[in-house]
Amino acid sequence: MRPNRLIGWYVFPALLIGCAVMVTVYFVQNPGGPMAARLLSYAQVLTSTRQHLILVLVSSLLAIMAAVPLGIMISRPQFRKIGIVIENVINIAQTIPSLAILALFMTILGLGFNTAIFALWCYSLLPILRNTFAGIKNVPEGAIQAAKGMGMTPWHILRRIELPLAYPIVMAGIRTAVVINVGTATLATFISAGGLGELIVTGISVGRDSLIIAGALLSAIMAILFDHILGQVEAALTGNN
Amino acid sequence: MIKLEKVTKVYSDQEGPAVDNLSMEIKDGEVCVLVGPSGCGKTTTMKMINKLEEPNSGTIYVDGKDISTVNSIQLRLDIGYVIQEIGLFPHMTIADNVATVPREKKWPADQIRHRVDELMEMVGLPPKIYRQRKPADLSGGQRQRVGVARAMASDPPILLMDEPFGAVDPITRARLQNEFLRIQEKMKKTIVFVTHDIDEAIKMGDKIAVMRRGKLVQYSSPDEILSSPANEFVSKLVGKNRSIKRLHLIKAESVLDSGISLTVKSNVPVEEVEKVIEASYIGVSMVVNGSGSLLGAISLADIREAQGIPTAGEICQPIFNTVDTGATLNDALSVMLNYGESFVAVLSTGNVFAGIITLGDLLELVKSDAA
Amino acid sequence: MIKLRWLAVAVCLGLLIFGVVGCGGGGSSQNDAGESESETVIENWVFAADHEFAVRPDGLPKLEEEYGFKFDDVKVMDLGVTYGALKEEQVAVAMGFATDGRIGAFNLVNLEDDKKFFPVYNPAPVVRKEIMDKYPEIKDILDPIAEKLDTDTMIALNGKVDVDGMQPKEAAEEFLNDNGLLGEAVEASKGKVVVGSKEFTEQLILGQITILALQNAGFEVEDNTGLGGTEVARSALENGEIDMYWEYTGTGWLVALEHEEAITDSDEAYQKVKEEDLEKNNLVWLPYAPFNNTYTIMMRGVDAEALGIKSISDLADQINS
Ligand SMILES: Nc1ncnc2c1ncn2[C@@H]1O[C@H](COP(=O)(O)OP(=O)(O)OP(=O)(O)O)[C@@H](O)[C@H]1O
Ligand SMILES: [Mg+2]
Repeated sequence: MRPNRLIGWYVFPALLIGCAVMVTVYFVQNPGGPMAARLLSYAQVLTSTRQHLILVLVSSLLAIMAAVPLGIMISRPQFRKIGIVIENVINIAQTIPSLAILALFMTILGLGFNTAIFALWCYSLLPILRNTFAGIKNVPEGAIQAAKGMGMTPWHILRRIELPLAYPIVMAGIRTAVVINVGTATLATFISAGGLGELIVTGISVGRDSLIIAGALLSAIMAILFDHILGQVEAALTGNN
Repeated sequence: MIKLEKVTKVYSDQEGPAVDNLSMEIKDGEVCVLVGPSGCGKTTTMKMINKLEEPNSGTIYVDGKDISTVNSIQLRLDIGYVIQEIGLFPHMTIADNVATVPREKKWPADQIRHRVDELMEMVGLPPKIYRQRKPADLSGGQRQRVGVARAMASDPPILLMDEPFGAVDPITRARLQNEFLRIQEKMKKTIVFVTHDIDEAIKMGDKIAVMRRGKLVQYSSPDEILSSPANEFVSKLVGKNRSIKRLHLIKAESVLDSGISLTVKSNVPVEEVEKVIEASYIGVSMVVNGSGSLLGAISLADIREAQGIPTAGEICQPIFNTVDTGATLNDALSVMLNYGESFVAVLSTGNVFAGIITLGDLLELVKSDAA
Repeated sequence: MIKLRWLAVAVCLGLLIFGVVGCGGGGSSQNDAGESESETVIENWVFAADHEFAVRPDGLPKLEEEYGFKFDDVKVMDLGVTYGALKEEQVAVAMGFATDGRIGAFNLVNLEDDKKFFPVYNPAPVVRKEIMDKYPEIKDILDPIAEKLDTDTMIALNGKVDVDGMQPKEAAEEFLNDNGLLGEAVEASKGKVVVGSKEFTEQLILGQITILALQNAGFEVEDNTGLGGTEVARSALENGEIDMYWEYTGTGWLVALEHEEAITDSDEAYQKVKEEDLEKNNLVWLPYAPFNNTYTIMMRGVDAEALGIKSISDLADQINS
């Protein structure tokens, strides 16, 4: 148990961060021409990574804070009808390409960080909401009937039965949302919100593979890191570790 | 006491009512078994008693109070509920499952622990082995037992048990039933027990309520159900061999012939015994000692073989075709068949001879049913 | 317990509202005070550029070198959103395309490229020689039109379509009528020509202007506008599928004639591309319009006026001061 935890919480993340550092060092040392070198400096890579991290963290946290309670709410019998409507609306919203969402909100909200956060927030709502809803609906009807029949209050049923049972599915939704978010956040650069997309998009527009690869590798590592840490959190909270 | 008064329940998406104008009363300390085919409204009836479902019309009283005026949480906390689907909480250990209601009632932790161990012991799941297991690690029958233990955790005066022994093999089922009856003997809880199985109903119930399409067809004691089914539906439900079933129900003491004319004291001389045997319809005479305990039996053959003029006590042979007064007629029949005898001697405590039951008696009983 | 449930509902709704409103409020983060203050003071010379321009050696680095100044900071974004960023005062200076309709609509101004840094892209009607030989009067019809198409006019026309939602044809008609470029209409009798265009607003408008003018002069015109990118339009012209379309001198020079070095003087570019294209491909470049659809450096009109900035050199002086 102990060594597992050590590896899960420290060793593996440290390895991933080590990889990221190595990628950074390698590409800063070998930028592949002066044009790419303009972006492949330690300061610039660090800034882009930090911006990316903040974009993902803030939008995901806000999305969790909104989607989980909303998911719980629409799974209540008295809201179930509204729930289906809400789910469908968000389902349809999800089919709008992320770039289109960026463009759409840009015209309403203006450019930059906040718009990017909002677009990412919108984009991560559905996986979390849907999984929360599905997770709670997935709880065996018998367990809920039994809990109710034995005199548990609705609040206790939610807290002791429904949420713990829905938890892995909710967590899976959050993981999906965050990993998607890391990818989608590379589009934020189009509206001047920075992030690793700045490396990638510049690389594409001037044809410098080093920029594309550096940006893609760093965001991939970030996605794996987030996924892993959320997996650890999940395991710790379910007590399976 | 639970009392239903003209209770009707119609589910919105159903054609007819699930429960139709049902009135019945379950006395304190009584086991009422609901039987009937699938979909006849047994579960629905139960759910209305603990307010999981609300009747469309009619009134339900628990302990004299109209439950529509009682807080449903409070009501349910005092009614143990074994759900048909078992409904264990898969993420909790067995101990936590059993502790559900005591926790809701905020019992102190060590009292809960103690109670959980006691209950697990009672349903035959040694706490040392099973306490920390998850429901997924149990067999279906074990899960059902956990369900029963969970329902009884806070020692509620009323239990609703929806097919609690549905998923166990016949042998375990019989064991659980006997265990249940033993406990009920002591606890005297008011129990509503649902089953598909008429034999289980006959065995467990003080009263049996036969339901069909939401209606109460017959509500009476098991014996009455067997001896005088209200209509064809009930007799079909009870089955062709209801007479044999009835033998399960009737206690030996209730039909025995006191057999005074058949007994002799151990100190009487043989010639006297001979007269008794000749008058006896079973061809033997029972020999008892001074305090009435059965010593054995004497047949004419025994007398013929006897030398001299001994007393009855000296030549009587021990017999084994005996049953206790508490035994059922079914037991008596088994003994007769086992020993190839046409009668059994019924003994009360201290081997005191209480009388005999003959095959003829049993035939007569069965015949009266067939009529 | 019931209360807790409603609390959860309330928190959830609150967050939704926070999400919408909170993010919405943050539209303009920089220089918020700019508009209310009477005196325009730009402390941070932040420049909005696209990804390519920001790093290309012949892009921003060369521009700064040529004019001898340096922006305080560069914000990288898609070229389509620089206009909005400038309008919303997230940046002080932005790059864009000189004839984009939003320049007029957002009250932005182009700074004059007084050191001729950017390559020139003046549009001119390019016609197959065969057609020119057959109908030499086409030159007389299109010349006065080209003459009228200066940068402000083109910005306004693009703005009518892109910002106000007019049809290219309506905008073209309005332009021709306003400038009295349509003489007495003539019955169709002259013969048939096919007019093409690439597929973006400016090209569609130019195409419609041409069509209307030729129809008015008695040509039977086939509308083949909206042909995608340069490659498509150009090969359609070379194959004779269309008879004419408006091409930009810079594009002709760099893309069609495949030269490596851009030309930054309008006349020079026109003369060179005209000669070579006629010689090699039998295509006639009619006189070019004064507007120049090239990269531009823009500022907000109010700022430029207040600071007296008209050209990039003025901007450099201002930043350096
Ligand atoms: N929640 C519900 N919604 C609609 N109809 C229901 C609901 N629950 C039960 N019913 C219907 O009511 C009728 C009685 O159901 P009930 O569950 O009481 O039957 P039962 O006697 O317990 O059957 P079984 O022996 O199969 O458990 C059935 O026709 C069933 O389909
Ligand atoms: Mg049922």
